[in-house]
Order: sequence, then C-alpha cells, then structure tokens
Amino acid sequence: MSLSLSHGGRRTLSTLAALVCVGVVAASPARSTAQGVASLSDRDLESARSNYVSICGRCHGVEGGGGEGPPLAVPVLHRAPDETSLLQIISQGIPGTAMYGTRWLLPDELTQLAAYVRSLAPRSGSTVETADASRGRSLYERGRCAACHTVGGFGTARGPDLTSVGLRRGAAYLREAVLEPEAALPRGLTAMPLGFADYLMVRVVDESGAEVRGTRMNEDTYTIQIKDARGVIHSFYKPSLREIEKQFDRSLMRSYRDRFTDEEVEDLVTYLMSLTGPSRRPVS
Amino acid sequence: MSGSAMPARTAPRVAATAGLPTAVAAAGGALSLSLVSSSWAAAQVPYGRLVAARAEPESWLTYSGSYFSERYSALAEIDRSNVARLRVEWAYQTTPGVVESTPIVADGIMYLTEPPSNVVALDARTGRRIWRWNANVPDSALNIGGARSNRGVAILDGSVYVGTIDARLVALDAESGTVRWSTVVADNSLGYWMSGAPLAIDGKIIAGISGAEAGIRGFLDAYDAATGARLWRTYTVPAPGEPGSETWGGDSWQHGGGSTWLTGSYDPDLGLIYWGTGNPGPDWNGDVRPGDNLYTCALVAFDAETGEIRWHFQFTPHDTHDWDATEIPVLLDLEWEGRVRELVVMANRNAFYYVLDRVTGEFLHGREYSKQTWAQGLDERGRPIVLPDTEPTLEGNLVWPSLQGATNWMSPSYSPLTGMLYVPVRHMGAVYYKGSAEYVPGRPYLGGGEQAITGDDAWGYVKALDVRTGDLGWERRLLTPPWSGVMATAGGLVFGSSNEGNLFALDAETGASLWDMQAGAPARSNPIAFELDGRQRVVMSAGNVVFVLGLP
Repeated sequence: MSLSLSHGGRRTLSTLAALVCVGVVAASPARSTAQGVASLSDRDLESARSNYVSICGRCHGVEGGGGEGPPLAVPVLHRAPDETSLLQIISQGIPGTAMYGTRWLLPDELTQLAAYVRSLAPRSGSTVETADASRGRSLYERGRCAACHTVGGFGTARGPDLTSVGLRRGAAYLREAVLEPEAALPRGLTAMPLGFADYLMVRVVDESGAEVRGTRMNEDTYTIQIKDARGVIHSFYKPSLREIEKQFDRSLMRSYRDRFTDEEVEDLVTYLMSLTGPSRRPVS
Repeated sequence: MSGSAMPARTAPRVAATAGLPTAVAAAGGALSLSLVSSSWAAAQVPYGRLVAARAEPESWLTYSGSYFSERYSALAEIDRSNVARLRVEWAYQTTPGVVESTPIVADGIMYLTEPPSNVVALDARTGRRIWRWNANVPDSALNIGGARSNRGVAILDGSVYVGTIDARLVALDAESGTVRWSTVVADNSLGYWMSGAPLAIDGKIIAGISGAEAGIRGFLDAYDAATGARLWRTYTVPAPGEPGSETWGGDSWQHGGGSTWLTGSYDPDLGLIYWGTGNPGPDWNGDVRPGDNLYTCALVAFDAETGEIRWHFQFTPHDTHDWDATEIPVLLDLEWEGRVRELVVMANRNAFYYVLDRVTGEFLHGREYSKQTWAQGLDERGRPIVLPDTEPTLEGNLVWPSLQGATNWMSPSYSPLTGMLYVPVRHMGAVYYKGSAEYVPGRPYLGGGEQAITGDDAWGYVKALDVRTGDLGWERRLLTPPWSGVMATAGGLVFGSSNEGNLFALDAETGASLWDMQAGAPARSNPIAFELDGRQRVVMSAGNVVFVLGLP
C-alpha cells in the first residue's frame, strides 16, 4: 500500500508527524506492532529529517523540490509508487544513476526516512469545498487548454502532458501555473537534465540570420532542440549560432487571471487534480 | 608495445623484462609482421617503466599518466588539423553503473575497473575481454559519502592492484586475473571503503582510504607489492602527543576524517609521495572539533620509505564545507623567479589555485580560479582570510562553491607546450545546513546537509590557467558542472567530456572546440591516450560505455 493523497487541509507539523507514523506502519506491515505509532517520537521525526537533509537533500532538495535529482515533493513517485519499491530504492540505490543506496541505515531509520519522503508530497486537493471537477472540465474546454496540452493522448503537445498531473502536482502549484505561469517553469518533465527549466522560451538566430522561437526540449553543451509554435523540432549546433537568448521570465502559457473567476480557477484546479493517469480497458 | 614504430624504446624495455617469458619481446616482432593479428603476453611493467612513463607515450601506465600526474599525452598523431575526423574505433560496455575508471594500457592490454570494484582485461585493439575478476562486493558493504564505483587499477611487474568498496586491497595476476593476495585494509563495517586507484612505486603499493563521512580516522598505507604485507601506515589525523594533535579539541581526533580517497603523485628523486587529504569529520558541524584539524584538507608529503610526514600544507583549516583537498597534485619543474624550482600545483576544491615548493612545502603563490564567497583571499603564507557568516547554519547559508567544490576528483591536465593547467570547473553554489553530529560506528557522521543550486543557475567550464600565476588563459563553458577530467596532448588538443554526454576536443591554445560527439549518457571519467599499430587512440567514457577513438 502507499500513502494516498490526503484531500483537504494544509500540511502542518502535527499532520506531518501523523503521516510519518502512518508511513512507518505502511512500510513494514510485518512489524507493525513492533514499530507502532507510539514509538515514533519527535526524536524519530527529527532523525528522519536530519537523515533526509544530510543524505537526500543534496540532490533532491531540502524541501523535496528537486535539483540534480528529481523532485520528491510530488503526490506519487514514478519509480517508487509503493512502499516496497521506495524502501528498495533508498537502501539499494538505482544502478546506473547517481542515486546511491543507504545501506548503513538501520531498518527503523530506513522506514522513517521513507515515510519522511512520502510526507513531502503536497497534501491539498482543492481548497474550496464547492469546487467541482466537472465544471472544471468544461472550463478546460472553454479555455482551449487542449490547444497546448494533452490528456489521455488527446490535445496538442506544446506544453506539459496533463494525463496524470494530479499525481505529480499539488493544488497550490496548479493554481499558480494557471494564474501566473511565468512564475515558475516546470522541471523534470522534458528530456532536459534534471534541475533545468522545462518549456523555456528560447530565441535563436542561425548562421543565415534566420530567427527561430520556441520552447527548449533539450540541450547539452553543444546542441539545443527547440519546438516551435507549429510543433516542429529545430535542432541547432550551438557553436554555429549567431545568437541564443533564453527567456527565463516568460512562459508560452498566458495567465488565466483575467479570463476565469476565482471560483472557476478552483474548479479547473479540481479537475486537474482529478487527472490521475490513463484509463485502462479492463481484462475481458 | 608498439614494436617497430618505436625502436628506440624497444631495446631497454626488452632488457627490463629479461628473465620473463620471451613472448613479451616476441610480441613486438609479431606486430611488425602483421597488423591484423598479433599475440600479446600479459603486461610486465617493472618499476623502471613506471619511472620513465613519460618516455613511453604509447602506454598509459599509472592513474595520472606519470608519477608527476600531468595527465599529458606526448602522442601527436591526432592534432588540430585532423581531430575533426575522429571516430569510434570500438566500445566496451561494463557491468551496470557509471564508469569512473581511468584505464591502464600496457603491452596491448587495457586494464579497467567496472562498478563497483571489478577488474577486466581487454584486448586494446578490439575491446574484447580477456578476463574479468569479480570482487564479489557484498551488498551490505558500506560506502557512506560516495557512489559505488571505482577509479582504476595500478600495475607493477606482472600484477594488477585494486581497492574494493569493502576495503580490501587485492593483487591479481595480470595474465589471468586470479588473486595473488588480498589484504583487508580496514574494517568496512566502520565505514572504511576504497574507490581510488592505488599507486605502484618501487616494490610498494600505496593505497588511500575513504570514509570521513562515517567518522573514520584517515591514513595512507604502503603494502609490499609481492606479499600484501603492510609496510607502513601514517594517519592523517594525529593522536594526542603527536605533532598537530593540538589542532583537535577533546577526543574529536578519533573520528577526524582526513580520507585519502584519490591517487597521489610521486617524486622518485626526492623519495616523496604527495597525497591530498579530505575533510574533517563531521563535515558541516565544526563545533565538536575546535582547531585547524590537521592534516585534513591538506597536501601531505610522505617519505616513501617510512611513511613519515615530511611536510604538509593545509588549504582549508577547520573546513566546514566538505572541501576535500584530494585533488590531483601536479608536479612540475619550472623556472620560478630566476631559477628552476621543483613545484607542486593544485587547483583546489575550495576555488583557489596553489603553487608550492615540493621540497619544502613552502607556499609560493595562490589565487582564486572560480567563483567563491567564503574567503577574502590568501595571506602571505597561503592561509585563507575567511569571511564572516560563511559557516553552515540551521536555516541554511548560501556559499560558493558548493560541497562538490570548484573542482573535484576529475583530473586536471598540464601541457608543457602551452604552460597551461587545464581544469574542469564546477560553477555552482550551495545552501549549507548545520545539524547535530553524534558519532555512531558505521553510520553517517555529517552534522548537516547541503542543497546545491542547480539547473540553469549552475554550469561548468574547462579553464586554462597559467600554471605559474593561475591567471585565466581561456575558458570554455559547459552546460552543467562537469564530473569528468581532461587530458592535454602533444597534438595541441585538450580532450574532455560533459555531464550531458558530449565528448569533445578543444584547441589547447584557444579553447576553440574542434571536435565533439554525443555519447548518450553522462560522462564521469578521465581521458587517456595510447598507441597501437602505430596509431594514436583516445579513450573516454560515458555512462557504462568505454569509447576508444582514433582517426580513420
């Protein structure tokens, strides 16, 4: 089992502590009596945070926001959807990546650390109880979101795919993305090296003087790949470019602040939070 | 061995291997008859070949290319005019993991380590494996503070030497990969571990240790190359009563760190081994260890016979940012203020470049070579003038460079043609956190944490520094802070690679890029060069693939 999303209510220290407890029980069902809730003291919580900061924070961010390693403050970890896989990754690492194992951790510390990682996930779904996902879905259509986004394979892939955005992002993040998209470009979605801004707007001038604008899909020391407004990928050898301008304070997406009311924004966010993965045809 | 192509060097080599199977000498003859098939014997690398490694550029006999650690190749077939035609000759895929190994190439065989501590011998012409030794590192082996990888072997006579994650030093028969001896260097359950390439000198194998993040007490060891018996051990953290012990408060010396996890350099004439030491333990909380914490974050000159410390120079007294001084010390004989002086230079993790007299350890010159915000500069004795409010704090404190430093384990390179030291540079800051630190055997002993600034706010360089002054000659920007070293060649080139998988060759004079190739995975190793069939090859790795490159 995994810690499911807790809808409603912001994260507080007490809920954090409670979640840590739940995590420990969930992570070691066979020892649930030996490692019960009562034994998880403030000291355990402090120890878990201390281990997190000194071991994990360097790459994953002290608050789990990511850096050289992927963000952990997400509702569902792609490589570790359940507790077994999370414990496995923390203790053994991921071969072929910079993620090394923490073989020295004691079993209790391991489960506490896993629970702490889970606790970094955003907790809130919608903030207003009257918000409605079905109204949000209509707004998604009215706002022509599909002109730039895909859900379940339908739409246009200029911006991030939203099929499972409800697993990836919390409501606060989505609200900001709708109202102030240029405030924080997403990370960890495209092929860009971890930590880099995705969908960064770039303007280049090539050898012939031709200008190309689009969003950065990937980049290395020598090349950059840009997707233009028509969806065409342009690949450039950077040493031969005349100009390359990265527009960090812009986003391809326009703000919906003046197009939707506050209530409508909450409806849209609620709809987005309900997107938790592709639908699957059951076995017949 | 490159046979007829290098007649001048062939004669002394055969003499040096007298008494060994004649196939060694015969191999050269066979090669001159046919370039498409030849027979090799396992490498025989007596000490004399190691001392004269620079006169044998067709081989790569020791971690940094020679005892002086220039990581410079005198091969010049691949040069500025033709490097654009460089192509992959062969590739070898190791067991899963990331290759950080510097290969040794001798007599047609390439000796390479695979993650975590395994050794393979490859046909240097084709990459086909001759043997593999599996270190069988137990899954429970501790490597607190680093990745489960290995940086390479040492070779001496007919043996290949490797240090393992679980802190064994192992001698393998170069011909078969079978174990000749295996010595436990230290107790892995206390956090002692090994990943660096040992250094082979006359009859001795010098081996360092990792584990400051677990609160070890660091040391440098020498072992009898023939038997594995330990000849000397010198601790990098003095015990009470020993010189330097006054720089440790209370019992803090017992877990004082001072790892020796990267390969040092050697001056055979002076009989001195130059080896950098790592951070004091715990890393980020210095409260428990008041004082300068000798000999951590220092360059130490060890007497090769006795292990006695002849001099030391501490770059970062009382370090609280994990700025190990394990970087490669490059030995140079250069004119300095009117006379030729024996020097050692180091681009340090703390963002300063240093020139020292390697006979005495005297500080001659130093300057900043990368962004730093922790020191006003160096005083006349080379001690940093530390700025206030640069310590880790509970709330976090932004300081440059990051924990990973302005540079790190990846090797620099010195070209005598340009007088430049080429340095892979990490332009990156970090927020340092301070936490509590309690020593528990075999557990992290860190006292805090760090969050590096990443993404578009951090990047890398290859920088060319004037080796005398540290002044910037040129710099070539890299998209991300690199984890791979560089190698200059007599062809006027500097080879390097990027964290995004670009392999490249730069003009050593200007930094202009003359060749590049996307290798498909992050590069995390140091380039080398060798010559086979009269043709120069360059070796670089990315991900778990080793690429051997040459001209068509």
